[in-house]
Amino acid sequence: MKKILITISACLCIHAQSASAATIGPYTIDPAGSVSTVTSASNVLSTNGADAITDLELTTYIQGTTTGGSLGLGFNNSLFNNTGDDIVFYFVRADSEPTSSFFDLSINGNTQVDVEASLFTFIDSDSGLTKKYQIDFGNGYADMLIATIELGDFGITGTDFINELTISNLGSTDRLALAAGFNLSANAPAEVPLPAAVWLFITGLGALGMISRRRR
Amino acid sequence: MKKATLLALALAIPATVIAADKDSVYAWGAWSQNIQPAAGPRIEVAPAAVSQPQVNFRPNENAAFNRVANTPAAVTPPPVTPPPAIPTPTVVEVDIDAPVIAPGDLPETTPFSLKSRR
Repeated sequence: MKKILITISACLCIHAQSASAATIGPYTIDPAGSVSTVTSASNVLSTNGADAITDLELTTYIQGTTTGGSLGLGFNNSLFNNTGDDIVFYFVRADSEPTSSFFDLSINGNTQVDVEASLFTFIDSDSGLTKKYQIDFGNGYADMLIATIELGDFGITGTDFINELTISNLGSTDRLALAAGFNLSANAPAEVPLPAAVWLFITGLGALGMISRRRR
Repeated sequence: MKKATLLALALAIPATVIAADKDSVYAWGAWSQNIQPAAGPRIEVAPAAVSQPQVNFRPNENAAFNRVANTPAAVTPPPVTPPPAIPTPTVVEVDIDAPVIAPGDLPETTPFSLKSRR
């Protein structure tokens, strides 16, 4: 089988104070927007304790048990709702497991049931074929499932922001490897429109011009 | 009428410029040359000498009781912890039917809870 392996996202520009972003598929992950702490955990398994979700590695993960796990995730930097998706979750999928998984997500007191993470695929521009992203584990490649979240669906708008969310109903094949928010600041305020008084002034000038012309 | 208006404007606008007093106290002119601030007394304030509070400690007391008095005014902010660097993700693009690792070959997991870590 012809396998084309293209390693992406090798471009990491290290700065003195801030770690650089990494690109995973079409998404650019800012470390400052990623999970900082695990605030609660029950019925979950981990490859590396809480670090599995905070270390930004795709090869370490936290997964649920057969009874359904829950996980509280904290973000040091506030996450805002801007245009497009606001949060991304990356899961690891092994062979013979479902190509989509469902979990519950609670943000700001609003809960959405059965949020879907689906197989992370793309259309190859060269061949036109559907391809998928995989994670290299050294001894084999795992598929990726991805779920993107729009904070507006949870009532977060404008300058509202969140620093915590809770994932629940994590199944035994739901391996959460990375979660990160895209927007660390609110959208710029809308442009102030020209005051109505200016239009009134311009209209008045025009009217005066018309009157003077008629008098002549 | 139109000519009269233009003539009036032509006279009125330069007139304001001509009429302005170039050496007025309301404008910078020759009068403002070599002006220096008035001499006045110099005031110097010397900070009070720092002294250790004189406390007669009892036998079972020590200088730790002075910690409030000895606390420096400036509070050092906690060091800013930069976010961790994202490791280079080893993500590959493959055909949709490319083989997938078996569940048993994935890294081993152990039960995790925040309570068990304390």
